Amino acid sequence: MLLQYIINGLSTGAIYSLVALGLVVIYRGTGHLNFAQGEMALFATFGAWWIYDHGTTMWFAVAIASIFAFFGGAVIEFGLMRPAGKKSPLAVVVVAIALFQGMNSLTTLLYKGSADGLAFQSLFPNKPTDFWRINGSTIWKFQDIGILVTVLVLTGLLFGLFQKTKIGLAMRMVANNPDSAKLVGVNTNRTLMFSWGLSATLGAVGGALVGGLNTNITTATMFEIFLLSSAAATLGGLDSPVGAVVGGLSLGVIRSLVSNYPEEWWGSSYIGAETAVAVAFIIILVVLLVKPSGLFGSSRVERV
Amino acid sequence: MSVLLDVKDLVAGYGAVQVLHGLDLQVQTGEVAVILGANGAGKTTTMRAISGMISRKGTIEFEGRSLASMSANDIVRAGLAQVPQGRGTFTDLSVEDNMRAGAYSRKGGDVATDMKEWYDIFPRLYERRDQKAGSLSGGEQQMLAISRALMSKPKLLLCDEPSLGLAPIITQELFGILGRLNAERGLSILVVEQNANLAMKIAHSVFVLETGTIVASGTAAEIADDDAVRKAYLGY
Repeated sequence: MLLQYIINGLSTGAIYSLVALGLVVIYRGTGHLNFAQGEMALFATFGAWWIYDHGTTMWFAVAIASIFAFFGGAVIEFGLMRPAGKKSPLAVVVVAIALFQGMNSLTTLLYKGSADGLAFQSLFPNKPTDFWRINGSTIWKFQDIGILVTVLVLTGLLFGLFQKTKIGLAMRMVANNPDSAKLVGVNTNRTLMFSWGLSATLGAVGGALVGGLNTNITTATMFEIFLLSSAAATLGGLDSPVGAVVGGLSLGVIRSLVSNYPEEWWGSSYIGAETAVAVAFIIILVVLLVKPSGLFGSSRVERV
Repeated sequence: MSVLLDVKDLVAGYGAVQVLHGLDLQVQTGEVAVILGANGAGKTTTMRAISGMISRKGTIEFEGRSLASMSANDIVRAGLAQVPQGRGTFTDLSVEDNMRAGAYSRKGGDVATDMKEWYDIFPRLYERRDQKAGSLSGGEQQMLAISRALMSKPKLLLCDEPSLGLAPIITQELFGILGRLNAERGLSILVVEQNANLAMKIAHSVFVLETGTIVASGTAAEIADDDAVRKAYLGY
């Protein structure tokens, strides 16, 4: 069963990775954890549902919602975060928390009755027979493969963006030394707008993947995803994209193992599904005690 | 000679604290101009005001074009590159990415050829091109900061205290290179420096800055002959 649990964990873990990547993109640029990341994704995911409900394919709906999420993220940076940042770092935190609450309320308002959930179509084949049998009773659902592949492809694209493009170089410059970035000609404001847009897009795709996995979305769907994704980002080191991916995947697997094994051994769910999240957080706590900058975070050592 | 940079009545500061109180200075095309001044005189503030890193009032004309209301990222494009105090390299980026960052403002041009040109002048940077800039020594970082600024193909190079925190021998090497860049390539340079003796060796004109205004200016020879200035800044 071990392999099966790992396989199951990888797909939820991949989703944490994606949302965590979005958090890291903003953290690197601004030094702030975007508390509203999950709820921004929630809004986009309900948007995708709405487009799908008007008779398009799910892929089309998610693509359109992701594009709108990009512009939405950019507008949030420009209209809310930038003015707040000029006041004080604390103002940014307050605005992000307000945004968290606001996006959730707005979603509830627009989709009345959504607290009970809306049926959400997966992007991937998801019939009971859509799986690949690895051996014996171990199966890999097409849905899970699809999620993992989507996240890995997006991660690859993101790394290409960082390493090979001019905007990627600008993002790395702004993350490392905003003053020097200005001095070499980077428009730091525009770069941050782009970062927020990119982050919102990653969240929107993450939301659609969660919806597909659960076959249902509610206004509470993204809260737990945000918690675990921010934990994954912290585990990975907050400023490291590699860390976000590794942190997300390992958190997904840990969670799956903790949910299943103890229950199997003791026949009780006293330690099991209910406490899996808590156990995941305890593991993070231990890692951070040993390595405060996270697994891949840069603890800055500079020679002067 | 023609005036490359013409600063008149420059006022700048941080928040409520005004540091520069109506500063005037000119840099001629093809010369090395040096601003001398003690700690807190406003040397770095002058540099940051010219390059658009802080808000300022007054006239800043570069090749007859006003920079006073331009933002820092546009001023680079006008042809004015600053090496900030403390070097300001991108410590998490590789040396090569730092060089590429320097060319960020350029449209086209052969970046690889230019990079090779500066690598030839600073061979240690070439040896360390894949290392993170943060792992370089102070002197190497200063060389990287200068190369990065040069990658933007500036008409005027602003250097803010290149000697800060460096061993005397490295500082000498650096000023030697700055002098050569000026003599061999005709690069105009404005240097702010506390190490007056060293800076005077490559300077054509000198400005003495005291509490936010220029109190003396002239050719390097004139300033060296001025008893009061010599005693206060050159120490002999």
